[in-house]
Amino acid sequence: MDPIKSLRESAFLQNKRNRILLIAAGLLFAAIIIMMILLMGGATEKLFAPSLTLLSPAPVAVDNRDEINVDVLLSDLPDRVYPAASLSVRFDKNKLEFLGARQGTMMTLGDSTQEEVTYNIPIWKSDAAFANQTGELNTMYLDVTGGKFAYVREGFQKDEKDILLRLRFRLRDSAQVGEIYDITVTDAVIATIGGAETRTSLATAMRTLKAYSAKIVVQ
Amino acid sequence: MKHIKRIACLLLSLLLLSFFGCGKETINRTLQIPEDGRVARAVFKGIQESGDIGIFNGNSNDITYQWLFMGSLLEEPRDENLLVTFSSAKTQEVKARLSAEHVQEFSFANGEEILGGPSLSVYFTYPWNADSAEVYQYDAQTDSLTLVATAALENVPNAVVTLIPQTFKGLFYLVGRTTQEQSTTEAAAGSEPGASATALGQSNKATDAYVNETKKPTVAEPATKDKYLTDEVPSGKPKPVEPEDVTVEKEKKHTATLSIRCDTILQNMDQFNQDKLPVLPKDGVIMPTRTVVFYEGESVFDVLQRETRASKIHMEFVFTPMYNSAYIEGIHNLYEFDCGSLSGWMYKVNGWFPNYGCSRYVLKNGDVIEWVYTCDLGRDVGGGYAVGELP
Repeated sequence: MDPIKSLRESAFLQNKRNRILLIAAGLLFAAIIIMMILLMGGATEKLFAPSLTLLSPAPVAVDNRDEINVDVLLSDLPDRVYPAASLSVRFDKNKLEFLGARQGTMMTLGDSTQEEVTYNIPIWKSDAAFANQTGELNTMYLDVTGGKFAYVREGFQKDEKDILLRLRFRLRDSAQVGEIYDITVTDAVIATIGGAETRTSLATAMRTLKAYSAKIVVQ
Repeated sequence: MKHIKRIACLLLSLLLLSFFGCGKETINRTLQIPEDGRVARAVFKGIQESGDIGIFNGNSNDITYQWLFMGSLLEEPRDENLLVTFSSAKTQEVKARLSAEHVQEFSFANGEEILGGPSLSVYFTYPWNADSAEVYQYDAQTDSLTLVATAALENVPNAVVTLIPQTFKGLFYLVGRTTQEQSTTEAAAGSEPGASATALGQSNKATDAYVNETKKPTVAEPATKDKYLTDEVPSGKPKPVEPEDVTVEKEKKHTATLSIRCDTILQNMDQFNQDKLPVLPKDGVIMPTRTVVFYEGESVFDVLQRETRASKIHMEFVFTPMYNSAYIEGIHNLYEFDCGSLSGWMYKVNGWFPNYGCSRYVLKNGDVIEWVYTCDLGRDVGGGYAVGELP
């Protein structure tokens, strides 16, 4: 007997409700497969590990004085404890005003107890006034407990919890149409304890961390 | 039964969303170049349609590089290979040949042109002791180097070299140059139309033996002037084109870089008209290097006029029939003679100071236009030869 015919005539498929359920399951499966293809089979690869990338914002209108966010994206975080991190960035102080740093999405350990592990998004410290005088902003995060509030792998997740911090800028009145401003990483460290000796820290100076600059385009 | 129908409708909607919704995700304008360098047409199409920008980051031998595509300049998107390889096979040899301290060898993945006129920024981990950068192409058959472009160099504090590549096949070298080196490797030239020029010059002997003669400016003998009093143009340099003979083709868009600087004034403050202090930029930069769009057939003057107008920068010129060109009297309210009797505005394209007016210089894709203020008839900006002096 034809197996397809026997399946079609089976008691299971004779039931209308079962047939609808089967079609729905098929649709769901197809949707999942399509989404996986779209998400995983992108035309370009995701940033390879480990690298720190300043994400360029959309072109900014010359008369726009809204805050411009430059997100600092980390591509990967090896499984260690990182209680300190710092970032130095050059920018054109005559064209851009640095407003400060905002929370990203990457998490450190929080005030955890034995019963419950909690996570926290830290605020990086910076001196905007000094940065605007020198054209170089220095910002850092320091867990003074030496590990209790450190960055750990569990607080990192690609595409969801991978923004270390967000740098906030604003165009100055001297900005002109067509200008392109480089926001250049001059130094970056995500440090482990004693990481300089063991080379476990991620640092641009040690070439254990790559850094990519951003551009702000004025239109 | 109703519930089942609803669930089925919901799943069907989900399926449709996965088809149409995901295609309209927000643009990720910063992307990493994949290992094989290939970026699909769809990515460029997305940039083109959104009018946004596309930034592509790569790394080769610890040197990072970045391509910048402008959506408005992408005409016919296609698959591109954006891989750039930094190497050192002939670096020491080229350093010696060109007598240059900073040289970086590089090549493009498959030698094919990359469409859309993107700019390429190369980030070094140390500063360059140089004022500008040049791009040389190596010809293996003749074992010679040809100057193919100039590039913008900034030390912030490490060197960042930005260029708009025009040729893609073979080995290339980024070479750091000081103003002094440039003025000795370049030869006869001129300046703004006001300057009378007997084109004379000498080239760097160390460079001469290797740089392709067809591209390199050579010593020009005193020659007959054309009807607009222009001396003979050095070989390998573009000849002047009369504005009335050119048709601007607006459907053909190209890019160039443009900058306007007056930092020489900062070194000559004793000569500077103190009434003009309020308009003097502290860093001497009136317009930092920017990528500009121009149309086929347009001149240096056309671009300067459009860009200063768009940026609300003052610019005053007078048309001089004797030279058949506009003469730039002032930019940003800084005029000729504001910093002594030998001061005024000069322009250079790809590092060369043309010996004819800016209305007669027809641009080509990738040109690097620099307007500089001289306080010493060009000598202080590496263009002394422009007014007929030996370097």
